[in-house]
Amino acid sequence: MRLDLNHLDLSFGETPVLNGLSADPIDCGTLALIGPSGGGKSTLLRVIAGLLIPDAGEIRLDGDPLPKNEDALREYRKRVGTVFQSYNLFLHLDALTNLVLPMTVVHGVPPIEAESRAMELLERFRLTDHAYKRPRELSGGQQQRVAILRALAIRPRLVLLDEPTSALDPEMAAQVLDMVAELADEGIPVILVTHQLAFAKSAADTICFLHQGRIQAQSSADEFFTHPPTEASQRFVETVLKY
Amino acid sequence: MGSRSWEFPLSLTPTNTDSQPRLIPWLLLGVVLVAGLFYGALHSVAYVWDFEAVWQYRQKFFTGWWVTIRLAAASLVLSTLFGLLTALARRSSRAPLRAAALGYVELVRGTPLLVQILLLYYGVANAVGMDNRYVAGVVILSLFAGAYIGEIIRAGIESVPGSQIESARALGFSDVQVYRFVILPQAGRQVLPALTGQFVSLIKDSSLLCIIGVEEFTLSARQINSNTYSTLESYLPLAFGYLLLTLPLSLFTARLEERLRYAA
Repeated sequence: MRLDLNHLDLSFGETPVLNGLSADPIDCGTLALIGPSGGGKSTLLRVIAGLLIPDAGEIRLDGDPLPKNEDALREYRKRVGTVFQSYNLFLHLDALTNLVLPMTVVHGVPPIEAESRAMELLERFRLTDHAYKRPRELSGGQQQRVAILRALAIRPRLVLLDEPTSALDPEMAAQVLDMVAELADEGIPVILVTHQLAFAKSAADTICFLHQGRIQAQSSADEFFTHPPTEASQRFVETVLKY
Repeated sequence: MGSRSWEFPLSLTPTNTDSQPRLIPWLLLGVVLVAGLFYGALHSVAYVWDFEAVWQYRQKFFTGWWVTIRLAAASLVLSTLFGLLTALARRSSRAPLRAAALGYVELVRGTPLLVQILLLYYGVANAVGMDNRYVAGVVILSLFAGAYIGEIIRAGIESVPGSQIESARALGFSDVQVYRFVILPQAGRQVLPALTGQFVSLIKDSSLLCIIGVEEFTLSARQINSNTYSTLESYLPLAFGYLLLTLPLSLFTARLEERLRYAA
C-alpha cells in the first residue's frame, strides 16, 4: 500500500481536528496510527475510509486521489473494509447474515456464493459455531472478529481498524490482535488506530504519531520504539509504557 | 418475624413482558371481577335485560361490523404509508419537506378528530368531488392516524444507534439501502408496541365516522338502540365486537415482537 497525505484540514464546527496534516509518502503493509486521545487518529482513519471529506488537502491511495463527492466516495468505500471500536455488526442479523448482506446487496454476489464464502471465512477463524447467533449473543471479542471477517468478505484493497480492541478485555483483545496479525502476514494492507503499543510494535511496519491534528513523528516501527523521533512522541511512549 | 424480605415490584432486569402463559389465570380473574362488578351494579338498579328486540337486528350488527373491519383494514394500510412518508419527510435534508411534515403533524395532533372529519368531509372532500363517504372516511382516518404513526416511526428511526448507520455507510451501502436493510428493520422492532397501540386506537376511532353517515358498527348500534330503546343490549355487542378486532391484533403483534426480539 502506498499512501500520500497532503495538507489535510478538517474542522468539526469551530474545532479544527486535522490541522494541515501531512506525511512523507508511506509505503508499507501495516500502518499504525498512535498518539494521545483527541489527536485526530480516528478522524484521519475516517477520512481514509471515505466517511469524512476533508475541508482541504489531498489523499492518494496507491497513486489515485480519493474522490470528493459522495457518489464516487461510495464506490471507493465498497473496496475498503472498515472496523470500528465496537457495535459494528448489524444487531438484528446473525453473524452469517452480517457477512452475507454486504456481499449480496452492495457487491451483487449471488446469495449462494456469498453464503459459502462467509461460511468459509467463519470456519477458517473458528467461528462456525456462532454463525447463527445475533451480536448480543456473542462475546465482545467474537463480535469484533466477525466484524473483521465482514470487512474481509468483500475482498477489500485495504482494511482499516479503529481501536478494535479498546472495548475488550485482554484475552479477547489478544484473539482479535492475532487475527489482525494474520491479515498482515497474508499481505492485506492494514491501517490501524491503536493504544496497544506492544501490538503496534510487533504488527506494524510503519508508525505515525498524531498529536494536535498533525503527524508529529513518522518512522519504521523498530526505529520508533527504540529512538522515538520527536520529544512529544518520546514522552508519549514513555508514559504509555510506564505501567 | 418473617424471613422473606420485601421485593420491589418493578423488575429492572429484562423480562418477557408479553405472552406469558402465567398471566392467563390473572387475566381471567380480572375478566370475572369486572363482569361481576357490572353485574352487581346493574342488579342494584334492577335493570331488566331484554335481548329479544335487539336480536332481530343481528344482521344489521354484522353488516356494520363488517364495514368497520374493512374501514379499519384499509386505514391501517394507508395510515402506515402516510406515517412512513411523514417520518421520512421529517428527516429530509430539504427544509420545505421538513416544514410541511411538521405542520401536518402538529395540525392533526392539535385538533379533535371530530372536527377534522367534519371539515375534511364537508369542506375538502366535497370540493374535490370525493362523493364516496367510505373512501373519504378511510382517507380522513388515515390522515389522522398517519400523523401519530409518523412520529412513532420517526422516534424508532432515531433510536437506531449512529454506529449502525456508520457501519453500513462504511461498507458502501447507499442511503436507500441503509434505510431498507438496517434502519427500518431495527426501528420496526422498536416501534411495534407503540404502533399496536395506535392501530387499536385507529380501529376504535373509526366509530367517529358515523357522523358523516358511514354505516359502520357504531352507527348500526345507535340505530338499533333508537329503534328498540334497549340501550345496554345495543351497546354491549358493540364492546365485544371491537374487542374481537383489537385483541387478536394485540396478540399478533406480541408474537411478532417476540419473534423479532434481537436485543438481550
